[in-house]
Amino acid sequence: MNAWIKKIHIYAGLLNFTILCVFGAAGLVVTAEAPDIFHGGSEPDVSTVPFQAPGSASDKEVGNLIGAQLQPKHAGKANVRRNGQHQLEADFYSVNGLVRATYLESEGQLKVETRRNSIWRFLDNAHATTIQETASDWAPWAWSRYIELSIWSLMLMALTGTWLGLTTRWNYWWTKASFIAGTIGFAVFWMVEK
Amino acid sequence: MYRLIRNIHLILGLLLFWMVMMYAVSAAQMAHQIKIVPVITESDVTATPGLDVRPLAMELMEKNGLTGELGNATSLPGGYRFPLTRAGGVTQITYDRATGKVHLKTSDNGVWGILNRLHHFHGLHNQSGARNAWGWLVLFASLAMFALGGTGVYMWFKLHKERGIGVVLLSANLVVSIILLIALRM
Repeated sequence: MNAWIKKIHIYAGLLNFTILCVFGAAGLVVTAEAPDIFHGGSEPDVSTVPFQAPGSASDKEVGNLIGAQLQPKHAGKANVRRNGQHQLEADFYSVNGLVRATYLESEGQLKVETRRNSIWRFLDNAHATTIQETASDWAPWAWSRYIELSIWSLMLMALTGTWLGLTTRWNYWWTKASFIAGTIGFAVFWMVEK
Repeated sequence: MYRLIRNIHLILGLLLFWMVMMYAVSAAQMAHQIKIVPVITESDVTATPGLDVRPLAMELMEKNGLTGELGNATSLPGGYRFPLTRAGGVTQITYDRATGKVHLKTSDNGVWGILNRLHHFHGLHNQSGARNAWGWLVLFASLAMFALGGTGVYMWFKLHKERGIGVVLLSANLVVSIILLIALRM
Protein backbone atom coordinates (compact mmCIF):
# COMPACT_ATOMS: atom_id res chain seq x y z
CA MET A 1 0.00 0.00 0.00
CA ASN A 2 2.84 2.39 0.79
CA ALA A 3 3.99 2.20 -2.84
CA TRP A 4 0.67 3.69 -3.95
CA ILE A 5 0.66 6.25 -1.16
CA LYS A 6 4.13 7.31 -2.28
CA LYS A 7 2.91 7.68 -5.87
CA ILE A 8 -0.02 9.84 -4.72
CA HIS A 9 2.37 11.97 -2.62
CA ILE A 10 4.76 12.48 -5.55
CA TYR A 11 2.07 13.16 -8.13
CA ALA A 12 0.20 15.62 -5.92
CA GLY A 13 3.47 17.43 -5.24
CA LEU A 14 4.43 17.69 -8.90
CA LEU A 15 0.95 18.85 -9.90
CA ASN A 16 1.05 21.62 -7.30
CA PHE A 17 4.71 22.60 -7.27
CA THR A 18 4.18 26.18 -8.52
CA ILE A 19 1.27 26.83 -6.20
CA LEU A 20 3.31 25.60 -3.22
CA CYS A 21 5.85 28.28 -4.19
CA VAL A 22 3.04 30.87 -4.42
CA PHE A 23 1.87 29.85 -0.92
CA GLY A 24 5.44 30.16 0.38
CA ALA A 25 5.84 33.55 -1.30
CA ALA A 26 2.57 34.76 0.25
CA GLY A 27 3.88 33.86 3.69
CA LEU A 28 7.10 35.79 3.06
CA VAL A 29 5.19 38.82 1.76
CA VAL A 30 3.01 39.12 4.86
CA THR A 31 5.94 38.43 7.18
CA ALA A 32 7.97 41.18 5.52
CA GLU A 33 4.83 43.36 5.54
CA ALA A 34 5.35 44.42 1.93
CA PRO A 35 3.53 47.73 1.32
CA ASP A 36 -0.01 47.48 0.00
CA ILE A 37 -1.55 49.64 -2.74
CA PHE A 38 -2.12 52.57 -0.38
CA HIS A 39 1.37 52.55 1.11
CA GLY A 40 3.49 51.58 -1.88
CA GLY A 41 4.67 55.13 -2.52
CA SER A 42 3.48 55.33 -6.12
CA GLU A 43 0.70 57.66 -7.18
CA PRO A 44 -2.40 56.15 -8.80
CA ASP A 45 -3.09 56.57 -12.51
CA VAL A 46 -6.00 59.01 -12.76
CA SER A 47 -8.31 59.55 -15.71
CA THR A 48 -11.85 60.80 -16.31
CA VAL A 49 -14.54 59.31 -18.47
CA PRO A 50 -18.04 60.54 -19.26
CA PHE A 51 -20.78 58.76 -17.32
CA GLN A 52 -24.40 59.49 -16.57
CA ALA A 53 -26.44 57.37 -14.20
CA PRO A 54 -30.24 57.10 -14.48
CA GLY A 55 -31.91 59.45 -12.04
CA SER A 56 -33.87 56.66 -10.38
CA ALA A 57 -30.95 54.24 -9.88
CA SER A 58 -29.81 53.19 -6.42
CA ASP A 59 -26.14 53.48 -5.46
CA LYS A 60 -25.71 49.74 -5.91
CA GLU A 61 -27.24 49.88 -9.39
CA VAL A 62 -24.98 52.79 -10.28
CA GLY A 63 -22.02 50.76 -9.05
CA ASN A 64 -23.03 47.93 -11.36
CA LEU A 65 -23.41 50.35 -14.28
CA ILE A 66 -19.96 51.79 -13.57
CA GLY A 67 -18.56 48.25 -13.55
CA ALA A 68 -20.28 47.52 -16.87
CA GLN A 69 -18.80 50.66 -18.42
CA LEU A 70 -15.25 50.42 -17.05
CA GLN A 71 -14.95 46.62 -17.08
CA PRO A 72 -11.94 46.62 -14.74
CA LYS A 73 -9.87 43.52 -15.45
CA HIS A 74 -10.26 40.51 -13.15
CA ALA A 75 -12.36 42.52 -10.70
CA GLY A 76 -15.53 41.32 -9.04
CA LYS A 77 -18.62 43.32 -8.17
CA ALA A 78 -18.37 46.95 -7.09
CA ASN A 79 -18.10 47.89 -3.42
CA VAL A 80 -20.04 51.15 -3.29
CA ARG A 81 -20.00 53.82 -0.61
CA ARG A 82 -20.23 57.59 -0.21
CA ASN A 83 -17.06 59.58 0.47
CA GLY A 84 -16.66 62.66 2.66
CA GLN A 85 -18.02 64.90 -0.12
CA HIS A 86 -21.09 62.61 -0.45
CA GLN A 87 -19.86 61.44 -3.85
CA LEU A 88 -20.47 57.84 -4.82
CA GLU A 89 -17.30 55.76 -4.89
CA ALA A 90 -17.23 52.34 -6.50
CA ASP A 91 -14.22 50.17 -5.62
CA PHE A 92 -13.24 47.25 -7.82
CA TYR A 93 -10.66 45.06 -6.15
CA SER A 94 -8.73 42.52 -8.15
CA VAL A 95 -5.62 40.41 -7.80
CA ASN A 96 -3.71 43.38 -9.30
CA GLY A 97 -4.93 46.04 -6.89
CA LEU A 98 -7.78 48.53 -6.98
CA VAL A 99 -9.74 50.57 -9.50
CA ARG A 100 -11.71 53.28 -7.71
CA ALA A 101 -14.33 55.22 -9.65
CA THR A 102 -15.71 58.41 -8.13
CA TYR A 103 -18.95 59.57 -9.70
CA LEU A 104 -18.91 63.35 -10.21
CA GLU A 105 -22.64 63.68 -10.74
CA SER A 106 -22.81 67.39 -11.52
CA GLU A 107 -20.10 67.03 -14.19
CA GLY A 108 -21.45 63.79 -15.64
CA GLN A 109 -18.04 62.14 -15.26
CA LEU A 110 -16.24 59.36 -13.50
CA LYS A 111 -12.85 60.01 -11.94
CA VAL A 112 -11.03 56.69 -12.26
CA GLU A 113 -8.01 55.96 -10.05
CA THR A 114 -6.05 52.81 -10.78
CA ARG A 115 -3.70 51.57 -8.05
CA ARG A 116 -1.61 48.65 -9.28
CA ASN A 117 0.04 46.57 -6.60
CA SER A 118 3.58 45.21 -6.49
CA ILE A 119 4.39 41.74 -7.80
CA TRP A 120 4.70 40.64 -4.15
CA ARG A 121 1.22 41.77 -3.20
CA PHE A 122 0.00 40.25 -6.45
CA LEU A 123 1.33 36.85 -5.31
CA ASP A 124 -0.28 37.34 -1.90
CA ASN A 125 -3.62 38.11 -3.58
CA ALA A 126 -3.18 35.20 -5.98
CA HIS A 127 -2.82 32.76 -3.09
CA ALA A 128 -6.12 34.02 -1.68
CA THR A 129 -8.05 33.82 -4.96
CA THR A 130 -10.42 31.00 -4.06
CA ILE A 131 -13.64 29.71 -5.58
CA GLN A 132 -15.42 32.55 -3.78
CA GLU A 133 -13.87 34.92 -6.33
CA THR A 134 -16.63 36.90 -8.04
CA ALA A 135 -14.66 38.04 -11.09
CA SER A 136 -16.28 36.55 -14.15
CA ASP A 137 -13.41 36.37 -16.67
CA TRP A 138 -11.56 33.16 -17.42
CA ALA A 139 -8.19 33.75 -15.72
CA PRO A 140 -9.38 34.24 -12.11
CA TRP A 141 -11.98 31.53 -12.67
CA ALA A 142 -9.37 28.99 -13.78
CA TRP A 143 -6.80 30.09 -11.20
CA SER A 144 -9.33 29.80 -8.37
CA ARG A 145 -10.09 26.21 -9.47
CA TYR A 146 -6.39 25.47 -9.46
CA ILE A 147 -6.12 26.92 -5.95
CA GLU A 148 -9.04 24.72 -4.90
CA LEU A 149 -7.24 21.67 -6.25
CA SER A 150 -4.07 22.74 -4.47
CA ILE A 151 -5.82 23.19 -1.09
CA TRP A 152 -7.01 19.59 -1.12
CA SER A 153 -3.71 18.42 -2.59
CA LEU A 154 -1.86 20.15 0.22
CA MET A 155 -3.90 18.18 2.77
CA LEU A 156 -3.31 15.00 0.80
CA MET A 157 0.43 15.66 0.59
CA ALA A 158 0.71 16.39 4.30
CA LEU A 159 -1.26 13.27 5.26
CA THR A 160 0.47 10.91 2.84
CA GLY A 161 3.92 12.35 3.56
CA THR A 162 3.44 12.04 7.30
CA TRP A 163 2.10 8.51 6.93
CA LEU A 164 5.11 7.54 4.80
CA GLY A 165 7.57 9.18 7.16
CA LEU A 166 6.10 7.61 10.28
CA THR A 167 5.59 4.12 8.85
CA THR A 168 8.74 3.68 6.81
CA ARG A 169 11.29 5.62 8.83
CA TRP A 170 10.08 5.41 12.41
CA ASN A 171 13.38 4.01 13.60
CA TYR A 172 15.26 7.07 12.40
CA TRP A 173 15.77 9.35 15.44
CA TRP A 174 14.96 12.54 13.53
CA THR A 175 11.59 11.16 12.41
CA LYS A 176 10.36 10.89 15.98
CA ALA A 177 12.05 14.09 17.11
CA SER A 178 10.70 16.27 14.30
CA PHE A 179 7.13 14.91 14.48
CA ILE A 180 6.98 15.20 18.27
CA ALA A 181 8.56 18.68 18.23
CA GLY A 182 6.11 19.83 15.55
CA THR A 183 3.16 18.40 17.44
CA ILE A 184 4.16 19.89 20.79
CA GLY A 185 5.02 23.25 19.24
CA PHE A 186 1.69 23.50 17.46
CA ALA A 187 -0.21 22.34 20.56
CA VAL A 188 1.50 25.01 22.66
CA PHE A 189 0.56 27.78 20.19
CA TRP A 190 -2.98 26.43 20.03
CA MET A 191 -3.33 26.54 23.81
CA VAL A 192 -1.78 30.00 24.09
CA GLU A 193 -3.84 31.53 21.30
CA LYS A 194 -7.22 29.88 21.86
CA MET B 1 23.56 13.95 -1.38
CA TYR B 2 20.29 12.08 -1.98
CA ARG B 3 20.19 10.90 1.64
CA LEU B 4 20.71 14.46 2.93
CA ILE B 5 17.95 15.83 0.70
CA ARG B 6 15.61 13.02 1.73
CA ASN B 7 16.24 13.70 5.41
CA ILE B 8 15.67 17.44 4.99
CA HIS B 9 12.35 16.71 3.22
CA LEU B 10 11.32 14.26 5.95
CA ILE B 11 12.24 16.52 8.87
CA LEU B 12 10.64 19.66 7.43
CA GLY B 13 7.51 17.76 6.47
CA LEU B 14 7.05 16.21 9.91
CA LEU B 15 7.92 19.40 11.79
CA LEU B 16 5.32 21.34 9.82
CA PHE B 17 2.61 18.69 9.45
CA TRP B 18 0.13 20.33 11.83
CA MET B 19 0.85 23.81 10.55
CA VAL B 20 0.36 22.79 6.92
CA MET B 21 -2.87 21.00 7.85
CA MET B 22 -4.03 24.12 9.69
CA TYR B 23 -3.42 26.25 6.58
CA ALA B 24 -5.09 23.76 4.25
CA VAL B 25 -8.15 23.10 6.43
CA SER B 26 -8.70 26.79 7.18
CA ALA B 27 -8.26 27.61 3.48
CA ALA B 28 -11.01 25.09 2.73
CA GLN B 29 -13.16 26.71 5.44
CA MET B 30 -12.71 30.12 3.83
CA ALA B 31 -13.10 28.92 0.25
CA HIS B 32 -16.31 27.05 1.07
CA GLN B 33 -17.53 29.67 3.54
CA ILE B 34 -18.08 27.16 6.34
CA LYS B 35 -19.87 29.36 8.83
CA ILE B 36 -18.23 30.25 12.13
CA VAL B 37 -20.98 30.77 14.71
CA PRO B 38 -19.62 32.54 17.78
CA VAL B 39 -20.81 31.63 21.28
CA ILE B 40 -21.28 34.87 23.23
CA THR B 41 -21.14 35.15 27.01
CA GLU B 42 -21.39 38.29 29.11
CA SER B 43 -20.36 38.99 32.69
CA ASP B 44 -19.50 41.85 35.05
CA VAL B 45 -16.45 42.14 37.28
CA THR B 46 -14.98 44.93 39.36
CA ALA B 47 -11.47 46.28 38.83
CA THR B 48 -9.47 49.06 40.47
CA PRO B 49 -11.07 52.43 39.58
CA GLY B 50 -9.22 55.09 37.59
CA LEU B 51 -6.96 52.85 35.53
CA ASP B 52 -5.62 53.46 32.05
CA VAL B 53 -6.10 50.85 29.34
CA ARG B 54 -2.89 48.86 29.70
CA PRO B 55 -2.89 48.59 33.51
CA LEU B 56 -6.54 47.54 33.40
CA ALA B 57 -5.78 44.87 30.76
CA MET B 58 -2.93 43.55 32.93
CA GLU B 59 -5.13 43.46 36.01
CA LEU B 60 -7.88 41.57 34.16
CA MET B 61 -5.35 39.11 32.75
CA GLU B 62 -3.86 38.44 36.18
CA LYS B 63 -7.05 38.36 38.25
CA ASN B 64 -9.66 37.13 35.79
CA GLY B 65 -7.60 34.91 33.48
CA LEU B 66 -8.25 36.91 30.31
CA THR B 67 -5.79 36.55 27.44
CA GLY B 68 -5.24 38.11 24.05
CA GLU B 69 -3.72 41.00 22.17
CA LEU B 70 -4.82 44.47 23.21
CA GLY B 71 -6.62 46.37 20.46
CA ASN B 72 -7.46 50.06 20.03
CA ALA B 73 -9.45 51.69 22.82
CA THR B 74 -12.57 53.75 22.14
CA SER B 75 -13.55 56.54 24.53
CA LEU B 76 -16.97 56.35 26.15
CA PRO B 77 -18.68 58.73 28.59
CA GLY B 78 -16.95 58.03 31.90
CA GLY B 79 -14.65 55.34 30.57
CA TYR B 80 -13.58 53.41 27.51
CA ARG B 81 -13.91 50.13 25.61
CA PHE B 82 -11.22 47.93 24.10
CA PRO B 83 -10.91 44.41 22.69
CA LEU B 84 -8.58 41.59 23.73
CA THR B 85 -8.21 39.43 20.64
CA ARG B 86 -7.31 35.75 20.63
CA ALA B 87 -7.27 33.26 17.79
CA GLY B 88 -10.40 31.68 19.22
CA GLY B 89 -12.36 34.86 19.76
CA VAL B 90 -12.44 38.31 21.25
CA THR B 91 -13.35 39.82 24.62
CA GLN B 92 -14.83 43.33 24.45
CA ILE B 93 -14.07 45.12 27.71
CA THR B 94 -16.15 48.13 28.75
CA TYR B 95 -14.79 50.02 31.76
CA ASP B 96 -16.20 52.71 34.00
CA ARG B 97 -13.32 54.77 35.43
CA ALA B 98 -15.21 56.11 38.44
CA THR B 99 -16.58 52.82 39.78
CA GLY B 100 -14.13 50.33 38.31
CA LYS B 101 -17.05 48.33 36.92
CA VAL B 102 -16.05 46.17 33.97
CA HIS B 103 -18.43 44.53 31.52
CA LEU B 104 -16.94 41.57 29.63
CA LYS B 105 -18.51 40.39 26.38
CA THR B 106 -16.68 37.29 25.22
CA SER B 107 -17.14 35.83 21.78
CA ASP B 108 -15.78 32.30 21.33
CA ASN B 109 -15.39 31.12 17.72
CA GLY B 110 -14.49 27.48 18.39
CA VAL B 111 -12.09 25.30 16.41
CA TRP B 112 -12.98 26.76 13.00
CA GLY B 113 -12.43 30.24 14.39
CA ILE B 114 -9.04 29.37 15.85
CA LEU B 115 -7.92 27.77 12.59
CA ASN B 116 -9.14 30.79 10.64
CA ARG B 117 -7.35 33.29 12.87
CA LEU B 118 -4.12 31.28 13.03
CA HIS B 119 -4.14 31.31 9.21
CA HIS B 120 -4.12 35.12 9.31
CA PHE B 121 -1.67 35.79 12.16
CA HIS B 122 1.67 36.93 10.82
CA GLY B 123 4.45 39.45 11.26
CA LEU B 124 7.31 39.96 13.65
CA HIS B 125 6.20 43.20 15.28
CA ASN B 126 3.11 42.19 17.24
CA GLN B 127 2.46 43.16 20.84
CA SER B 128 2.76 39.73 22.36
CA GLY B 129 5.80 37.48 22.35
CA ALA B 130 3.67 34.45 21.49
CA ARG B 131 2.28 36.20 18.40
CA ASN B 132 5.81 37.16 17.31
CA ALA B 133 6.98 33.58 17.85
CA TRP B 134 4.11 32.49 15.62
CA GLY B 135 5.26 35.09 13.07
CA TRP B 136 8.74 33.51 13.04
CA LEU B 137 7.12 30.11 12.59
CA VAL B 138 5.14 31.47 9.62
CA LEU B 139 8.41 32.71 8.12
CA PHE B 140 10.00 29.31 8.68
CA ALA B 141 6.99 27.50 7.18
CA SER B 142 7.02 29.84 4.16
CA LEU B 143 10.67 29.12 3.45
CA ALA B 144 10.02 25.44 4.09
CA MET B 145 7.38 25.44 1.32
CA PHE B 146 10.14 26.21 -1.19
CA ALA B 147 12.47 23.69 0.44
CA LEU B 148 9.82 20.94 0.49
CA GLY B 149 8.95 21.63 -3.14
CA GLY B 150 12.59 21.75 -4.25
CA THR B 151 13.70 18.65 -2.35
CA GLY B 152 10.56 16.82 -3.49
CA VAL B 153 11.27 17.56 -7.15
CA TYR B 154 14.90 16.50 -6.68
CA MET B 155 13.90 13.17 -5.12
CA TRP B 156 11.27 12.52 -7.77
CA PHE B 157 13.88 13.17 -10.49
CA LYS B 158 16.16 10.56 -8.92
CA LEU B 159 13.34 7.99 -9.06
CA HIS B 160 13.82 6.90 -12.65
CA LYS B 161 10.67 4.79 -12.89
CA GLU B 162 8.46 7.79 -12.02
CA ARG B 163 10.04 10.19 -14.48
CA GLY B 164 7.59 9.67 -17.34
CA ILE B 165 4.35 10.54 -15.61
CA GLY B 166 6.17 13.01 -13.37
CA VAL B 167 7.40 15.03 -16.34
CA VAL B 168 3.84 15.22 -17.65
CA LEU B 169 2.45 16.38 -14.28
CA LEU B 170 5.23 18.88 -13.56
CA SER B 171 5.06 20.29 -17.10
CA ALA B 172 1.29 20.61 -16.85
CA ASN B 173 1.70 22.40 -13.53
CA LEU B 174 4.34 24.80 -14.85
CA VAL B 175 2.59 25.58 -18.14
CA VAL B 176 -0.88 26.03 -16.66
CA SER B 177 0.15 28.00 -13.60
CA ILE B 178 2.58 30.29 -15.41
CA ILE B 179 0.04 31.03 -18.17
CA LEU B 180 -2.61 31.73 -15.54
CA LEU B 181 -0.32 33.94 -13.46
CA ILE B 182 0.70 35.96 -16.52
CA ALA B 183 -2.95 36.26 -17.60
CA LEU B 184 -3.91 37.40 -14.10
CA ARG B 185 -1.14 40.00 -14.01
CA MET B 186 -2.00 41.46 -17.45
